[in-house]
Amino acid sequence: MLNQREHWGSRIGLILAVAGNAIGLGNFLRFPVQAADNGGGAFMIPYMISFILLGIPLVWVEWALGRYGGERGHGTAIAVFDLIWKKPFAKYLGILGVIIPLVVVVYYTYIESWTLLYSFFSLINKLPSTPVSDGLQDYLKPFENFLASLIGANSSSEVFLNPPWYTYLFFVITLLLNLYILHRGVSAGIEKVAKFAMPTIFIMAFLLLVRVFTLTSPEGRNLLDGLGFLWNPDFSALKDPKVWLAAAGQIFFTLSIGFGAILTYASYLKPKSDIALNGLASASVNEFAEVILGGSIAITASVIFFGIAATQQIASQGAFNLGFMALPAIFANIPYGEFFGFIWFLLLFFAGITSSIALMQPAIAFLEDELGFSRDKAVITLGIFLFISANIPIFLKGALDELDFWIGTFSLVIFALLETITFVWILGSKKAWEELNRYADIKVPKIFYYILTYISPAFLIVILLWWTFTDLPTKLVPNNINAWIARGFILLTVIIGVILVKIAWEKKNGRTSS
Amino acid sequence: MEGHLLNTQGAIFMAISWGIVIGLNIFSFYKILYNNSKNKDMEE
Repeated sequence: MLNQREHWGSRIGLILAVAGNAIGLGNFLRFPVQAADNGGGAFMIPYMISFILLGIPLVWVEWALGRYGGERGHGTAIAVFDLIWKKPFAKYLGILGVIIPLVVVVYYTYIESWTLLYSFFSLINKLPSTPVSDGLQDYLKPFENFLASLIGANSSSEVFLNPPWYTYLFFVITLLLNLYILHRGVSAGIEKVAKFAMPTIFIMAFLLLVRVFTLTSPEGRNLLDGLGFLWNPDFSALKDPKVWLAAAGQIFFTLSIGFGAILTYASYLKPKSDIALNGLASASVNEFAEVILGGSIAITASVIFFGIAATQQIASQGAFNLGFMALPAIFANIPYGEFFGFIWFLLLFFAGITSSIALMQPAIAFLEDELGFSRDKAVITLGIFLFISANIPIFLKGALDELDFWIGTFSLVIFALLETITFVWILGSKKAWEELNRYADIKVPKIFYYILTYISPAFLIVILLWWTFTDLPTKLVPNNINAWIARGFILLTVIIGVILVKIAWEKKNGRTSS
Repeated sequence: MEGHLLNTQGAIFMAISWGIVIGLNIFSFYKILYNNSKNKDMEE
């Protein structure tokens, strides 16, 4: 018997919710830094190629797996893998589709709460300010200190962070907001928020775009300097394989592939729904937010205000420095800066919350579909887990980076590869192609059959091997206890996941009901 | 301070990238609206 599952209320609501899942801090902070660091305009060549060979096909794979599961009453990779593989071990591979978003959201919600706090502090004019005449280091110092005090990194302890009470309060508010949206359900909660938040993000981004494009510096720099820094191509970068992998990695992160969240969202499709056009539309909205809006705000403003050398220095220290230090520093010195600071951080908060609710939903779907929990019971269970687990990245130095590397970076590629293998090779490439084209509102070009079957998996294997041989050796043996605690937490989450899956399947006599 | 104005090649890359993204959005949302109105006509 099929479980009575929720459905999306409207097609546009679904597309906005999936696009909202993909549009996050990375669109506005990570993309411009990646592009500027990797050949400027020339970066767009591997970026667009990766979008076609990796991005679009993998988005379709997640949508197709989600609809396949939803039609059979299931909304997570655990059951979908079980249904397709028809082997007892497959459901345990599918656990990654719940564990990855769950662990990511443990620290993502915390970072999201900083944007809410910054937004509030901008509004009440409590962010630092420095006279514009100071040198770059002196100029950014108050903002660096502010961020350090906010997360409690300025304490003398080597092991612990000591954030102030208001940081914790904003985290709790953010977590409760997320849980409330999930408690409202797919249509009345997630979809309603997406329908409000997405247009608001675009309106705020356009306001910031206009403001940035009309900025000038006392030295005479303007938007043409900023756009030149991002877009003037350096063709020699194309000979560097690192640039191609950076582009593929950016496509991977920006479209939220390999999290399992798109799969869960697609499982709530109404019967006989298209996935080909819906997948393309949601990816297109995400690209608009990234290439046009994300590429035009933060780095352009920084180049105009600080110049190219200083922007390179800021960007080299990480995308967060651009968003949480350089931008507030700029807003502190322009008319109505507190207003623009407020909308910049509110934009990041909205982009964050539409992603975090998507990351929480696979766990909710698992508890509801496989363990028979009511929605309220599932939301409370998730809330308790997140409230306790979040203390690891909040209070332990270095734990956030460790979780982000193993789960938010490395596992994504492994899970995306598993999804592709499941859909294309285990289900069978012909069946997979039929599945993608079933009820399709567009004719998917036949070339994507070959891309899906051969090129996308090969692309993923290359990325996985590259990261295994370049990044993994430097991370294997950490030099602090907190990294081991973070790893212990991941292991514990996996063990709990395996036990829950075992219990759920034993209840169902060892097979997925469909 | 140093200058690094948007040059012709940069402008071309920017225009093409923006064009592809805007084109994709127009194509997908046109198709969605077209299908929605087609479905509505069939229902009537």
